[in-house]
Amino acid sequence: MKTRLIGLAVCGVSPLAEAASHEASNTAWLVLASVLVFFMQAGFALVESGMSRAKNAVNVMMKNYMDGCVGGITFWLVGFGLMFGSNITGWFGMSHFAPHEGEPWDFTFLLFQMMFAATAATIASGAMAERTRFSAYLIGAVVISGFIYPVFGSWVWSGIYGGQGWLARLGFIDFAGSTVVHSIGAWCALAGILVLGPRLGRFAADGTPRSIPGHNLSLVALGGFILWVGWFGFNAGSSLEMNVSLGLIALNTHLAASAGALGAFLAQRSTSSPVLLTTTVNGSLGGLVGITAGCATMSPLFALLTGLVAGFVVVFGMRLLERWQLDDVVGAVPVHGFAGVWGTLAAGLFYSGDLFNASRVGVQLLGAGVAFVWAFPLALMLYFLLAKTLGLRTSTQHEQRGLDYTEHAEVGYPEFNLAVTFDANDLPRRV
Amino acid sequence: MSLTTRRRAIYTGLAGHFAEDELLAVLALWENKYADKPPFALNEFLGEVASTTERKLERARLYRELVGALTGPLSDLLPDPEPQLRRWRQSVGGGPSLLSCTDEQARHSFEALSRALFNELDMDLVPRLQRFAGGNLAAMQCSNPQRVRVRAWLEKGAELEQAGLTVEHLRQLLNLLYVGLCEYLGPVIADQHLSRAVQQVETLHLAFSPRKLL
Repeated sequence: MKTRLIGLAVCGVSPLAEAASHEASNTAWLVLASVLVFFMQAGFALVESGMSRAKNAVNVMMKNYMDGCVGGITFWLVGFGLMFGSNITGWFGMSHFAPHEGEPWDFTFLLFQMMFAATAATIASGAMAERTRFSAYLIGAVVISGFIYPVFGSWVWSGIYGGQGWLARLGFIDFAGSTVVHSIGAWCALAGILVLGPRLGRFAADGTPRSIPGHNLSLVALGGFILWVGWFGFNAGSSLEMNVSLGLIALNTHLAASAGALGAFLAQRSTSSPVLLTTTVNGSLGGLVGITAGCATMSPLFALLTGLVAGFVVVFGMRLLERWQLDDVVGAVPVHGFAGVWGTLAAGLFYSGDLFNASRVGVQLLGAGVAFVWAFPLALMLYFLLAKTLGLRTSTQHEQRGLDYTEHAEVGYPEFNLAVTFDANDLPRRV
Repeated sequence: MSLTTRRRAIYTGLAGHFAEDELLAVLALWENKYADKPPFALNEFLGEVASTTERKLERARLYRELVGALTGPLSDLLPDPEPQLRRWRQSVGGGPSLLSCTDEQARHSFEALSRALFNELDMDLVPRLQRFAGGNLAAMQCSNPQRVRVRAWLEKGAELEQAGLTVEHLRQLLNLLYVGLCEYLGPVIADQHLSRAVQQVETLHLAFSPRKLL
C-alpha cells in the first residue's frame, strides 16, 4: 500500500516538480547570461576609452556608464512594451509598458532584454567619441533604446506576449542580434558621426587621414577580452533556456571571434600594413558580431568562415570610412554595421541543412536593408535636431581642453604628465 | 549664449546696485574671471565683489537678478556696455583695483606663449597659421575694431596692446591658433606643440600663468 502511494506521488508530482526545476534552471542561466551581457558594457567602455586620447578618457567611460543606466530605464518604461508587447499588427508591441507585475519568467526575460538595449545604445558612443556633448549624447541614447531599437526589434523578435513581427513572419533569422542589436546601433552611430563631423585635424585639407592614437592599448586589449567573454552570454543566453544547443552556440561564438582576429591579421598583412592591436581586436569583435545572427543555426566550419570574412570586412570597412572622411573613433560602424550585415547574410547562406537557399538569403538581405532604412534616417533626424537645439558638438575650445575637463571637471590621470591643453589648477573651482 | 549677451545680462543685473564707474570695474572683474564659468560660479563672483568693494551687498537678491537677466528675454537687457568698458579700461590704465589678474598681465603671457608656439614651428608654417587665424576671427566674440587690431597683429606684427583684449578674448585667440595647428599638423602634434609652449612660458614665472589662457 505504502509503495503504491509513493508511486502515485511520484507520478503525480514529479512532472510539476520537474517543470519548476527546469524554470528555475532557465532563470538562473538567463540571469547569469544577463550579467555577462552587462559586463560587455565594461568591455565597450575599456575599448572605447583606450582608443581615445587621455584628455577624453573619463568622458568616454561616463558615456558608457550612463547610457546603460538611462537606456535601461527607458527600455523598461517604453522599449520593452514596444518590442515585446502584444504585436497584433506586426509593426510594434502595444502592452507591457513599465512592467511591474507578472510571472517570474517575465522579469527574467525583461532583465536579459534590457541588457541588449544597453548594448545597442552604447555602440554610438565610441564612434562619436571626443567631440560630443555629454547631455546631447544621453538624449540620443534614450531615443535609441526607447524607440529606434525596440521598434525594429519588434519586427524580428516579438511574439512572447502574442502576435509576431512582420520580418519574423517572412522567416528572417537573427538569433542574437547581428542586425537587431549591432547593425541598428551602428547605423545610429553612422548618423551621429555624419552630423558631428570629424575631430579637429582628423583629416588634412587634401583629405589625407591623420592617425589619432588611443591613449592606452592595454585597456583596448582588456576590453576586447571582456567583450569576448560577455558575448558567450549574449549568444548562448539568447536560447533563453538551458538546453543542449548551448555548446554549439558558444563554440561557434569562440571560433568566429578567433577567425575574426585572424581575418583582420591577414587583411592587414595582405595590404602590407602593420598589424595593429586596435584593428586586430576590432577584427575579433567583427567576428563576434558576424556570428551573432547564425550562431545557433550553422556548423562550426561555417562559423569560422563567417568570422574570418568579418575580419576582412572590418579592416576594409575602416579604410572605406577613412576614404569617405568619416571619423569613427573606434571603428564601430565597420565592426557592428558592416560585419552585422555580413553576419546576417551568412546566417542565411550557411543555414544548417539548407545551405545557400536563395530565398532565405533574400529575406536576410531584406532584413539587413530594412534595418538601415529604419534606423539611419531616424537617427540622422535625431542628431540633427539635437545639433540644432541643445547642441551636439562641443566647441573647439572644449575639444582643445578635452572633454574630461570641460564636461566633467575631472581628469582620468591626475598624476600623469598629460598634454597641457587645459588649466588643471582650475579644476577644483569647476567642481 | 554669446559673450555679448552674457555681458549685457550681467550688466543689466548689476546696474541698479552700483554707480557707473564701480559698475564697470565689477563688470570687468566678471569678464576677466567668471565669463566662461558656469552660472553657479556667480555666487563666487558676488563673494569676491563683496570682499573687494567692502560693501554690504544683498547677495541673494543680486544673485536672483543676475540669474533672471541671464535666463530672461533678450529684449529686457540693457545695450552691450562693451564700449564704456573699453573706455573705462583705458582710463584706469594698468592697475584697476578690482582686477586680480589683469588683462594686461594676461596679454603679456599670451604674447610670450604665442612667441613660444611660433618658435616651435617651421618658419613657413607660421605665416600660414597666422593667416588661418586671421581668416577665422569671426569666431572671436569681440568688436570689429578689436578684430582689425588682432588681424594686424597676426598679419603685420602690430602691437596687440591696442586691441584691448580681455582674458576670454585671448583664450579664444589661442584656441584659433590651436585649431589652425590641428588643421595643418593634426591634433596630436598640435597638443605637443601647445604643451611645450606652455611649459616654456611657465619657466618665465610671469604674473599671469599661461595655463589660464588655455
